[in-house]
Amino acid sequence: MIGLVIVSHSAKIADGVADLARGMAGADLPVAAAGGLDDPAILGTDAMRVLSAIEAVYSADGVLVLVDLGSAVLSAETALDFLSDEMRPRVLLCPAPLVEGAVAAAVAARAGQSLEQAAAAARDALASKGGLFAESPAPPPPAAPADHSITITVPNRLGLHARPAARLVEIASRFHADIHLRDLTNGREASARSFNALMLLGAVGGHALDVSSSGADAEGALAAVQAFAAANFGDPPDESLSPPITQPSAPASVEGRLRGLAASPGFAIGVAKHYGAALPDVSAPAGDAQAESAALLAAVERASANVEAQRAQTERQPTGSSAAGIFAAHLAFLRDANVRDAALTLIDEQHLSAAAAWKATTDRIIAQYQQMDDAYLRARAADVQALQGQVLAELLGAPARPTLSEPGILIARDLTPAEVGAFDPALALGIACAEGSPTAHAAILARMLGIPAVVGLGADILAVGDGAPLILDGIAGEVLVNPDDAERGAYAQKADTYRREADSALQASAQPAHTSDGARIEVYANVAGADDAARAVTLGAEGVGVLRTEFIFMRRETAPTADQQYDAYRAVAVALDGRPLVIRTLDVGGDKPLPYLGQPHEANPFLGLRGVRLSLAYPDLFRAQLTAIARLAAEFPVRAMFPMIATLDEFRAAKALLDAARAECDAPPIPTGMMVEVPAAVESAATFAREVDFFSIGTNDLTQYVFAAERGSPQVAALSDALHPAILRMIARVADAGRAQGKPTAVCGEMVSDPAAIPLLVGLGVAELSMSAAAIPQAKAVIRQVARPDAEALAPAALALESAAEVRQLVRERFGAGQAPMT
Amino acid sequence: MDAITTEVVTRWLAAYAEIIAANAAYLTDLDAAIGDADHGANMNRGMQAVIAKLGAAPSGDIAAILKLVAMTLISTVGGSAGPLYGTLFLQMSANAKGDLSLADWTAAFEAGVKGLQARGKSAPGEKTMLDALFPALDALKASADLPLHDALLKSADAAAAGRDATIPMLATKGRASYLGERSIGHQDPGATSAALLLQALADVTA
Repeated sequence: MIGLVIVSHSAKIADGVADLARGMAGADLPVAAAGGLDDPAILGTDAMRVLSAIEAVYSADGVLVLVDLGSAVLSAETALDFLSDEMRPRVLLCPAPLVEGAVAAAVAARAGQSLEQAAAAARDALASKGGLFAESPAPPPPAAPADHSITITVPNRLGLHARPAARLVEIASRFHADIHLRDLTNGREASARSFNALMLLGAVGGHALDVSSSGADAEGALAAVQAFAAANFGDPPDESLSPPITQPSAPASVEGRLRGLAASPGFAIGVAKHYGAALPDVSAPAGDAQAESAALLAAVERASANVEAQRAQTERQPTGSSAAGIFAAHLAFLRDANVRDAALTLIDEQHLSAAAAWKATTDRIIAQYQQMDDAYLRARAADVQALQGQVLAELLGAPARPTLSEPGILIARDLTPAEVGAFDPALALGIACAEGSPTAHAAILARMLGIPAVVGLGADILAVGDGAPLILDGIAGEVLVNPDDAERGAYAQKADTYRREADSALQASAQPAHTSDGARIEVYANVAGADDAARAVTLGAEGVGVLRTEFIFMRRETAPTADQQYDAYRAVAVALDGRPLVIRTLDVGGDKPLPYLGQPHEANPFLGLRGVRLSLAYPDLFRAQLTAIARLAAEFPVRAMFPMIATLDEFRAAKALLDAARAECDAPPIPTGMMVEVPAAVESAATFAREVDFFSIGTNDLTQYVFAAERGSPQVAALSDALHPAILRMIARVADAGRAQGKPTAVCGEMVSDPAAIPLLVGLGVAELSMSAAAIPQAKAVIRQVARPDAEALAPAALALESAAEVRQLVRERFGAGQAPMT
Repeated sequence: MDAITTEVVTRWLAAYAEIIAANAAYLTDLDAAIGDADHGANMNRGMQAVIAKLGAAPSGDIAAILKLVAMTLISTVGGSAGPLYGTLFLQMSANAKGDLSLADWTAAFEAGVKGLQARGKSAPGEKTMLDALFPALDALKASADLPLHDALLKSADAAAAGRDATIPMLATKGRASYLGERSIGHQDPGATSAALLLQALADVTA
């Protein structure tokens, strides 16, 4: 790739233009800024700076130098005189407009164009801008500005699939200008405001897209689209353009053995469980059009809320943020005004009921997807089908799917991502679908949950009797019905081998994580029970950083006794096999009242009696828990942690109760820490640091309290980003306060699962991270790529930024290459 | 005195730095009329940096000193004068060997002026430094038979006359060219600082 050098009298301009170029073409674009003089107060150009910049980005592909005014040209020319004879012929000075030229050249560079092509693109960069202004007639009203357009090549293999389409809609929504896409390869067109239209565009890897925009901020809009394309449409690099995966069509089934498509690897041996649901009947007559319209909008709204809730729930679950991205795509579909308006038009003009109009509209879209050439896009029909059913269920009520009570291999025509996401891997041994696609979101979720799945088995699988013995091979894509003993034996062995291989793949995660310069970062799991803990250990957890004890207090009529709690905590400790266990005392509030306490109703339970406040208000309840912890501490490496501490008095009172419980059962001293999640605790961290044994920063609640924004509320959820410098500064203060007293600081909370957070936390001096178990292998991989000096240089820079977006950008720039993919 | 020695060059640069410092405001005022009002400040910053560097590394022959001046001006002046004066000194450096007789100096100066002309893609008559430097070069060539100091005086006088001749010129190069006709009637600051350069050399060889 060619390199770019930006020469300006102003260092700020040069840096800014270089940023713009990187924004267009990605952080790894070789671009160097040569602005200003050594004295930052003086505007001017320095040929020696230009020389160093050229040398910094030089490769055999060449370097294009863009300059601003007067002396910039002379300085750049002077710099050329100092270049080696070998370099000089491959360095071009370009008489292009600086900003437009740099952007055009960056795009050309990213596209792999030659030095001369990039120079030409840069020189011509004003032409399109000229077009914008040249025609505009004199005073008001200004005529609509001429179209602005760019051509991009779809960078990622799957193209504008659900997640990129949803992102693109979101990007388009930031601009007033309309953005229109035309797929030059297949001739289809779409507005970037319509998720559905984008999906149906059929723009897959390698297609050329003409992206045009008109409106005041059209250029910015196009720049944003271009940057998005440069970022591989948000897909990880391994999803970038490469030969499409060939998808064999499902061959015909044979006796006793049904063949389908492997959708999620692994083996399941068990009995068949039918898991069916039909679409409700939509033939009921329509009522008043206005009422039907209102009913439809309300149903879509409720379905959206459900998806939103599922997304929030999925984010908290081990399946991680990828699954949440799928739900985000579903939300984008439900919020697509084009779809909604089409259904409302049917209600108005054809007097259909809300349900019939929704079904007709979505049926048409499903049919469109099913006609797509691309297998991935065809598979999106299942997503629309799922949403069709969800909205219809809101309108008419739907036959509920059976709940699983015992283990089995689930048989269904097809499953929605929501259904798969709700499966308990302990009960859903395998999934066998008559229809569906390995690239459907439901299949992706199955893989993330580790549930073996075969899809596209055909109607035969639906004819299998409930309770029939089955073997499901999620690798070969087969299901054996009524297998004989020999087959059972063979598959039991295969399953065993598979498990062992999967285990060895996890072994890297079983090793401790050190930064690339050798600093040990301890990685713990947040768990809610012994099963969780056992799973966390297999994924590489070095212990439990937060045992959420709520599990033993909920869904029961009486308070758990100390004995019951001891047994429950002991099971976790046993699962950890000697690894440290941090037990967080009860953390509930009025939003989830415990029936046996009779908590007073509160208008605002999140600011009410919760966490340690509640424990201190119900000392008998608290004492039972502390006794259980103290007893366990005599046998296992246990630490105690109090949630929602706001004042030193609270901590002292809780600690005194723990000490009393400890004295009663003659337990050894128990390291005792606090959650830092109330802003007051951050302010008083230095005071607390004298008395606590450790801090654990709960970034989820801290972020909510700091931004006064509930994450569950879609209108304000975006405010609560733990990567915001406001939160990072608080983490820094707590870690500093802890360090001053020799007390370690851990961070638990969703942010730790975000690879971007890890270099920041390492740089802030956090040496313990606690996260959902599934995030641990990736987190360890990221830690191993981080060099502490780099992280320590990154942290102060991040603290000085203005927004979470800037922080993410900075991390991408500094650690982009070393980052494990964020899917 | 019949040769320009290291010591002469050192005194020349010190004298030029002094003259520039004394005339910084004047040069900037000239530049304010037709340019971007920074020529005096830029040249003063550049020459002060030159003096500081020479003080830190006093040894070296004339070629080394002239190269040091070139590199320093290139990096510190900031405006067009940086690469232009830098090129002048760099080319002089490349053509200076040992102490300089009048003929040596004339040859080195010619190389410098030609280099500057190439860098600026300019010709005499366009209201630039060249309008002082070319007459100075011509005067030097015409004074080949004179004693060194006399020849340098003639070149300084010619540079001053050339500088004055820029007043009625129409600028077609550099920032002043943006003014078009309005550049007429103003003395060119680059020609002025160039004339001072030759004045300083004449002064220190007296």
